[in-house]
Amino acid sequence: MFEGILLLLHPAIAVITMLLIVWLIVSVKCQNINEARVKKLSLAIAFFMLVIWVLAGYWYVVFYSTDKSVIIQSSWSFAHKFFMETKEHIFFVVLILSLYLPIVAFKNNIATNKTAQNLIMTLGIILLTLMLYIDGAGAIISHGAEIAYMHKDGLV
Amino acid sequence: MSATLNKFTVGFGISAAITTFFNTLLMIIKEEIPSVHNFMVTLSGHHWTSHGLIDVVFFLLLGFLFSKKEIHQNISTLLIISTIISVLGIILFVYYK
Repeated sequence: MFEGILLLLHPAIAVITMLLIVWLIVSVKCQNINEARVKKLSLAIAFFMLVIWVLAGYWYVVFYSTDKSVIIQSSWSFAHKFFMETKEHIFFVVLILSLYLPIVAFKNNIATNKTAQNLIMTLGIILLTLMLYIDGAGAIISHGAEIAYMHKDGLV
Repeated sequence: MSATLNKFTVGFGISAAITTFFNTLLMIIKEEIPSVHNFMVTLSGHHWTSHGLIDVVFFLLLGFLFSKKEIHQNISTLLIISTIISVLGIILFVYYK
């Protein structure tokens, strides 16, 4: 039960974080930029990313090894060998860039600094792109595990 | 309308770009050299946990180091290039491994 909740919780928080990133991008594109909102959003994004790191990391370190051994023996071994291997390392790029967001938001006058606004937009677009890949890879790994267990149990 | 970034923004931006490269490099080194992999396991109990912690510490240290000087750099372009190269590096390494 706990394993299942943990497995579903981290992509759910990731989707909420992606929505916050979209909100952040829209916020810096507004005519009258609400600096307080940009600061709060950038902090929330960094915080949620740390939460995802802890939740996903705990699940990966504690529970994933059982699934991994089943997946790599199945016809969907690429779900681990390619998608999990890339996902787990691309995540760190996302983590570092999201930790950088509050520094940009708090150390510059976002309402008047066009360069800082563009930097936040660039970070937001990079983060969204990589997070969409990570979410997609997660779905493939999940389906790979499902097929692998069905093979193992002789259901297909 | 201001166009220059605060020195912490530039310093930590350069650090973020270097850390994304470092992340890819560390992945290749730990996968290719078992003793490095084993050392990372002993650090925190799992190589992935150590990898993340090393990346974050590296980012913070370099960030404070680069923030000491006034540096003029187009951070947006730097981050786009570093992200593309480091992510492609991860994908190609995993694909050909």
